[in-house]
Amino acid sequence: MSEECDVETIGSVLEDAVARSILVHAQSDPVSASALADHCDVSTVTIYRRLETLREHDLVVASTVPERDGNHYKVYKTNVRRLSVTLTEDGFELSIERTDTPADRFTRLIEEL
Amino acid sequence: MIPTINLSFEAIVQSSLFVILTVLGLAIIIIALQGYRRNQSRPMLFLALGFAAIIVPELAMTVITRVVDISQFWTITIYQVTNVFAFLSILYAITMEP
Repeated sequence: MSEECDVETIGSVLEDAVARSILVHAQSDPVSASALADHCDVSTVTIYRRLETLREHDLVVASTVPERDGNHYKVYKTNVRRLSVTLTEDGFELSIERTDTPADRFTRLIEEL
Repeated sequence: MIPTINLSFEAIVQSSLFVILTVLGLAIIIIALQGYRRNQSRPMLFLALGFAAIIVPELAMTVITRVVDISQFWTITIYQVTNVFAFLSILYAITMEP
């Protein structure tokens, strides 16, 4: 799954060290905001701000973990596998390959029939 | 005196299988719709519609036949007609150009 995006927008998101650290840390397993804060050594406020930006651009997806005591909390997972920048006659083209979900694999299976 | 519900073996097998089939079918529909949403893939929409055209009548008829007295002929005919549309929709999904 790949899509075209604006180089400048994504570039400015990735410029931030905390945002990059979040993407690296949350790529294999979903992580909570507080765990990310510990890992990146910044406040949870900063983490939430970065997560909001990352979610706006669909670079991170959130899911809710239900707890027995009713205190549900959110965990975050990186939603990007590859970013490629291509130089074309019209300028730079950035394409984002997302992390595959079963829905994406199912789609590919059907479309390739 | 507590009233006991007499459930025959056949009824238990039938309703269990019905629930399993419905859940599995709905799971496929949901994943297909996610594929349609995430990838703007029209084939996935028709695939979801096809599966829905199998499961929804099945669910609806289970309820309807308990309320309204419909002959077996009409019950089977309704299933077959909706299945025709379902298969057409799935066939369209796998043969259309994405």
